[in-house]
Amino acid sequence: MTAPFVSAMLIGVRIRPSARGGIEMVMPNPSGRRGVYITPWDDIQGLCQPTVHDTVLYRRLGQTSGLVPETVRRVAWEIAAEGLGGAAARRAAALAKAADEAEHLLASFLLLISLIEEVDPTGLIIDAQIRRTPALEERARAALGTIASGMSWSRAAVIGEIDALGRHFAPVGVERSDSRARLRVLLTRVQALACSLRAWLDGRDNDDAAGLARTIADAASLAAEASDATLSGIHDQTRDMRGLLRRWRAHPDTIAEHIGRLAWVLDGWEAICLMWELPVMTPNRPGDRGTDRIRDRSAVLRAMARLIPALPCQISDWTGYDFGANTPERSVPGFPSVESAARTLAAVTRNEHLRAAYR
Amino acid sequence: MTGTGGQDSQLFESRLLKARDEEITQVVAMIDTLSPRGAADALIAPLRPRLALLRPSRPLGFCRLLFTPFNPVIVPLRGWRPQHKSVPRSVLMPIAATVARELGPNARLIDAETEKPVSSGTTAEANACARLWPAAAAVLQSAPAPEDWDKTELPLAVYAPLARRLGAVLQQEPVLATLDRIAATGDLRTIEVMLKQVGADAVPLISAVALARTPAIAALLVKANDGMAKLVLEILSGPSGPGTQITLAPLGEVGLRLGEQVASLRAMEANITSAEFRRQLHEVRQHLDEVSLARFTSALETEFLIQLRALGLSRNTEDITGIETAARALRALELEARVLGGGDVYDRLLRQGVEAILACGRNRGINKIETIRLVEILAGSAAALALL
Repeated sequence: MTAPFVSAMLIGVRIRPSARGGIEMVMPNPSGRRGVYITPWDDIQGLCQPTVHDTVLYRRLGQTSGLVPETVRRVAWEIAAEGLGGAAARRAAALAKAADEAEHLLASFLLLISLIEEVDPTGLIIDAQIRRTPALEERARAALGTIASGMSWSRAAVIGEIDALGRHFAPVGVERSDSRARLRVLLTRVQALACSLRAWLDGRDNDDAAGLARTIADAASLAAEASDATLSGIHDQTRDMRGLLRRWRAHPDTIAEHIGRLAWVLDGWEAICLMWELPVMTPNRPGDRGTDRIRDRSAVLRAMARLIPALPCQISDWTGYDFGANTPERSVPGFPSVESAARTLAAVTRNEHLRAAYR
Repeated sequence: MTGTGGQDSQLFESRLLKARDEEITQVVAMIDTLSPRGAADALIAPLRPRLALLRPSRPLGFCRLLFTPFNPVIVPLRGWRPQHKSVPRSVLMPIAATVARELGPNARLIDAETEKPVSSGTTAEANACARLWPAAAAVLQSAPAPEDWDKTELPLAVYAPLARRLGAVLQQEPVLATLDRIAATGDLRTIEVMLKQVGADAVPLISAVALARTPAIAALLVKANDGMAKLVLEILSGPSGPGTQITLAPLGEVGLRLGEQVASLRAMEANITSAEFRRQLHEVRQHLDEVSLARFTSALETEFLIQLRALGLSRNTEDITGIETAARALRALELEARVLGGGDVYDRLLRQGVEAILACGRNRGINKIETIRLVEILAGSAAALALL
């Protein structure tokens, strides 16, 4: 899975739990060819001088059990909140925390309403627009008693389990129409990225940059398709709320893993989207004009192409579709040859800027 | 100008020189709205080095757009000679007026499109450039001298060859726009064709423009023909050479620029065999070394230490971001500059910076994490990790 490292050489490096404890780094082949290098952190230090932020991130992730994309995100925001990623990332961490809390609250509320509608249907449309009215609260109180006794749970247990489940549903939303949840927004951005790249390609010569843009657009479309299919499977669970709650209480890890699949499918795409969405940060040079911006776009495309994640190998099992058969052949650029010291330093600034724009 | 007027303008000039960045930006924005600019233009002349650093967003206008390719080689009239590989500022307005007159309605359209303040690199600018430069290049080959040429304070005989040189360079703009690719791929043939097409008289000017825009092109220019090494070395030692660019570049860009210059000098070294040229190249390196150290020393004090010492407990987060940005720029400059020499001096200056950071941390001007980040920038992550 990806982690928001900011050192120039660590962008695009993935992590995975190590059999020897802690985590190890999965580095793309620097030549751009297929294959990766599995490297312990100590070896990374021989390749580059990781920033303090990245060293602390590595250490904390190594001490965290049950690593999945969502836990990596949580740990990374905790470090950003301490200020190690810079002032902008610290502000972004506070915003992300507030947004997460709001999404959690909304997801728990919508799960509760879904449960109530299941036992006492009134045709209420369940989406983020529903307002907490006294009448709705009164109805919820009455329905909760029935639900709790029917499930042989206490009312507090029902509410407690819904709240816990809501934390997992928060990033994906409770309903398909819930387009404001974080990963749903990211899915929309991935779709928009594919469209934007194709628009950029329109009328361009078939040069190297065009080839990269096409590769990224195809991969983005595929990821969006796989995300859609994964999301359907997640939302199908809420059609039987009482069954979902029982399964959740009996096997919370299984349910959490199921809901967490979308984060796996979209893992790595936020950075790619941001690279395209944020303005190009290369300073002008004397006499620079529009043509140089196109040169910069080509550099951005190379950096984006290096980050393209593979779909999880379980994607066919999760969705019932064979995405592997449609996977486009990728020509991924290698790392730039010799970067000057100033460029390496500038890359850290750019990566911190990117980090602060994450959600 | 009357005696009193002269005194007034001197007073105004001296006040402008002491003005804050925002005040200068406001004054320049006001002067940009004047038509004709006349004496007002002369008032901001002493500010040009600061304007180069400030880079305020200004209306492009016809004249500025026309001369964009020459920006790095535009110099004050004082001391300029026709054989110099540069363009005297006094000729810009009269020549732009001549080109505008010859182009007629097209020029007025471009002027209208670019009258709002814009930053360089926009699509609107690129579109206007694509229409203007080829047309201006053709006009400059034969256009009569401007009626107000006397305002340039140059002999009339200077006009025709200068205009032809400017036109020849503008004609090559499509090639100049792809210099990065040409340098990266070592496309010597394209450089040879470009030099042949501009003609011998314009070779020095186009070489100066090319070197300022893409320093890495030096190695190819030197290979292009036997006389080019001498010319390139003259340009590098001249007023629009790398030393001036390092002095004038904004601090945030100076490290990148220096890195390009250093790499270019290295590449040139590999292509020069003459002992005399090697000696000249060594002098260029030495000058660049001195300029870089001077820039670093001055920026460390004025753009880092003074800001750091000024931090109080009631500061906002923007202050620390600005200081971090300055520290990064200083480090980028130092990392590139120490290749030229002076490693011990840079080490001492950086230690001075780190001591100031630690002192600021002890005085609670900055917190522990801010201290760690600043130390990391100036002294590396190992030194910063030791503070965790």
